[in-house]
Amino acid sequence: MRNATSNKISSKAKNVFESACGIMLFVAVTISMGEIVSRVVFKTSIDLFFDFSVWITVWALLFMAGPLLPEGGHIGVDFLRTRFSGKLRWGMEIMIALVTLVYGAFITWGSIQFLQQLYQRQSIFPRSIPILKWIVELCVPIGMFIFTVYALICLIRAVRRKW
Amino acid sequence: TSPDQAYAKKLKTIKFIAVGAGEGQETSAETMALNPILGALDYRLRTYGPLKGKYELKWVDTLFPTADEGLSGVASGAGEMILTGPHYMEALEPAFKLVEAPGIFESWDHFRKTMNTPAWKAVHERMAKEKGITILQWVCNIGDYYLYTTKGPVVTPDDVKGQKIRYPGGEGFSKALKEMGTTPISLPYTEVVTALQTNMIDGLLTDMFGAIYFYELPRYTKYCVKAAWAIQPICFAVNTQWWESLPDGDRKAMQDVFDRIDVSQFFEKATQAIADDWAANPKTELITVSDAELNLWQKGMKAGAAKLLKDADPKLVEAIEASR
Amino acid sequence: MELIQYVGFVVLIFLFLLGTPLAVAFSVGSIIIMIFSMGFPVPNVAQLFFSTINSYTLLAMPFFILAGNLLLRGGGMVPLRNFMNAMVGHWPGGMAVATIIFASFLGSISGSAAACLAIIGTVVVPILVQSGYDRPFASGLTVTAAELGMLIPPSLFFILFGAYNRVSIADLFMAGVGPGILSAFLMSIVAIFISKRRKYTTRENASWAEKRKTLIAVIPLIIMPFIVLGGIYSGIFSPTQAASVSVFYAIVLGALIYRELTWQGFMESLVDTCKLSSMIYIMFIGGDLFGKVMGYIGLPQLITDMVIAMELGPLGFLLAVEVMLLVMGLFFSSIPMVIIVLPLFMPSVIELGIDPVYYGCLAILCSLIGEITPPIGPQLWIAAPICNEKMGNIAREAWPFLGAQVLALFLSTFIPGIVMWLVYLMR
Ligand code: NA
Ligand code: NA
Repeated sequence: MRNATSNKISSKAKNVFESACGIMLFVAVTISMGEIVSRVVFKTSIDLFFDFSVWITVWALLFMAGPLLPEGGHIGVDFLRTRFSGKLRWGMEIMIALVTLVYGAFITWGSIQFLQQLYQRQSIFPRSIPILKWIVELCVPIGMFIFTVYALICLIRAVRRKW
Repeated sequence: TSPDQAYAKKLKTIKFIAVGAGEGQETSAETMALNPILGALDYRLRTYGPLKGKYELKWVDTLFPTADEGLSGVASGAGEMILTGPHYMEALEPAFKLVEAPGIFESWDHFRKTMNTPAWKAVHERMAKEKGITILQWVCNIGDYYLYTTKGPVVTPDDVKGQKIRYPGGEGFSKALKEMGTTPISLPYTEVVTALQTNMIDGLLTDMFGAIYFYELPRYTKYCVKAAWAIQPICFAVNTQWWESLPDGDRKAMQDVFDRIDVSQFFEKATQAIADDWAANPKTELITVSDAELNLWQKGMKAGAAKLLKDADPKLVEAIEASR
Repeated sequence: MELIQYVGFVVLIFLFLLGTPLAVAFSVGSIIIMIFSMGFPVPNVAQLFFSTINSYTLLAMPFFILAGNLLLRGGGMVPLRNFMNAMVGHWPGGMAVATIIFASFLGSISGSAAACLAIIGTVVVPILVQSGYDRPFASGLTVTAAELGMLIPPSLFFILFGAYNRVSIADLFMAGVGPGILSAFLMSIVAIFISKRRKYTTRENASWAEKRKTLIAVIPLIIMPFIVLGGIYSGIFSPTQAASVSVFYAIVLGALIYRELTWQGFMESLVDTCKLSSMIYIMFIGGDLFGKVMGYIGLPQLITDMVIAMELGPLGFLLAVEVMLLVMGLFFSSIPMVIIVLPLFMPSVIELGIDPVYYGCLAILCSLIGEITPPIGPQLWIAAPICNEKMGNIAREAWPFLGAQVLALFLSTFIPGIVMWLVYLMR
């Protein structure tokens, strides 16, 4: 009973999170549209119209990379894997989940280091309003951390499952 | 493994980070400037006694998608060397914002003199120490920014009123263009050619080399207004940590290459030659402006740069004025 | 090549065959080489992670996919399909031909093959199956027809190619029309031939009244390409921005005209788009890392140098490049190919006096075919879940249509007019 409730909550949380990513994407489209209106109607256009639509899209898509994992959203070839069963299949699934986990953790770790460098140098995107790079690129460690968490969930599931 | 390969293993690789140009190609002002210098460095590394057998120079052109990211990569040691410019270094050191702003530097000589003032030398040192980028040589001015447009003839800023002009980023350009009554558009460079063809923009600010080699502007814009907006210096830069880790003798032997080769004269002549071609081409028109007309343009440019100058370190601004 | 580079490739192939997500397999193999052979610092691997996708041009892809998803849920697709059916559904293989026409039309409002594939796979495949076509055939047809969406403007690949090589995207768009129509035509012949031989059923000829009725229902949709392309060619917006205009037009269609776009459908479109695009972006990073490693090792340069060294004339050069790209297409996904391999030939193209627009169009057609050909065929991979069919079966049924596309490619090479007539007309 308690399990069902917690499942419900977590699936609701996932929905909210996914919707938030979706809204971010829509905001990006609107900003891109905004440049057209601003330029054609108000005869003015600034560089950040272009950048913000890119950055917000990248944020939304990197955040979504994790939740995609358990649903098999990141495609791989399965013609070999599906021919096996039992212990061997179990081992293969664990190996896949493990490599994915290591990859996620590695990028998270690397991007934290890179962000530290950007922070120390106070690097900016030189635009009409200078934007600090580390803030924009924060999406990499956050997105890949979420990815790593989901990869861990996949690993646990793979270990428990019988083939 | 052959003895050659075993020998090669011992060489320390110096990665020269290039962006968007294949090795040996000369399709841009940047590659035309760096090829002879890099060639000399490569030859010296392979043949000059104290350096021989220690280093190999490798051209790496596929790692970083933009010059901005390439510089960032060199700063953190993903490569050792790069050709860059104030436009990109602005991301690390705000003072460089002033260099490519309109109406501030009048010539390559003015710029070089300014860089040798104590105030600007301090900027260089600060960048080396805090941001990890050491400038080995200011190489040349790859061309002044001019206005190229499809609608003309444009002689004074009044003639350009109402046009949509693409500028390469930077608030100085944006303000100056607004001051002249145009719609400034900071379109990504990848969209420029298409935008010219569909009349999404009427013109753009770029240099002679870019106009010919990069955008092939004679196909799109008829008019080039020969009133310089800003200079575009480029420099050889290295990763500071790597550079300072080199034995003194090796470092000096490499620095010699940069100190001995000067391509800036070549670029002044080459730019002039392109301008002559533009004037001679029946499809294009080079518009030369009188001193009085130039004054009008400069008034607009200076208005654009005013805020930048006000916000900048007064010592740097003084140094610019004193070097005129 | 050094030992560690072989290790990287072996790891990559092993993970690939094991079934690891492609993004992970390509990234891990490439990262091993970057760190241990190229001396690339770990933080900078992460730097590439962001900088690779921090691209304005690439933005067209998620936006076009979103436009596709909104169209799918807005209710306009059924009238469109009915219209196509009423027009040609009574021919032998008519439904298959209708699918190809449907895809071509979708192509003229969408710039992403993935978006076209999602729509056709969802809307058309079930109908084809209900009408007596078998699912593998319907899926093979769908995955190849979706590629037409990339040939017929607007098109993400043309945007990418034009942007990275400073070739006019407006010209490239026009260049795609001829080969696009030719491919559609040749594919239709193949479809009719196979349908006749397998005796797939046809529907009755629709009455004129039905034809008229379906036409009227579809008019608001039919003007969409004129708005999208008209906006681009009149300079109101850029090809990349056309994608965002498509999104808003799709919302107007779904909310005001066909009135089937609900709030829930809107949110689903957004989330689905995020998911598909996220997968493609992460895969793109992996492909790009792999491309960078290949570039560092110098393999693409080696191959292009070989072709260039053959000193062929313009026609021989183009044919050699095409064959090479088709072979490379088996093993490369197309975005890295468009960004890394295609530009390598540009200096020779210019030297030989070949119009870059002409070369770009032919080379992209090759890359598009490579999107489907196994083993590395991203469109094929995406198609499997969308069409609900096994990859192997889809691939088997896709071959005849791919053959038609290759024929269109070679015809366009021997008769440049097919590519260039509209370009000259517009210039
Ligand atoms: Na299209
Ligand atoms: Na392929």
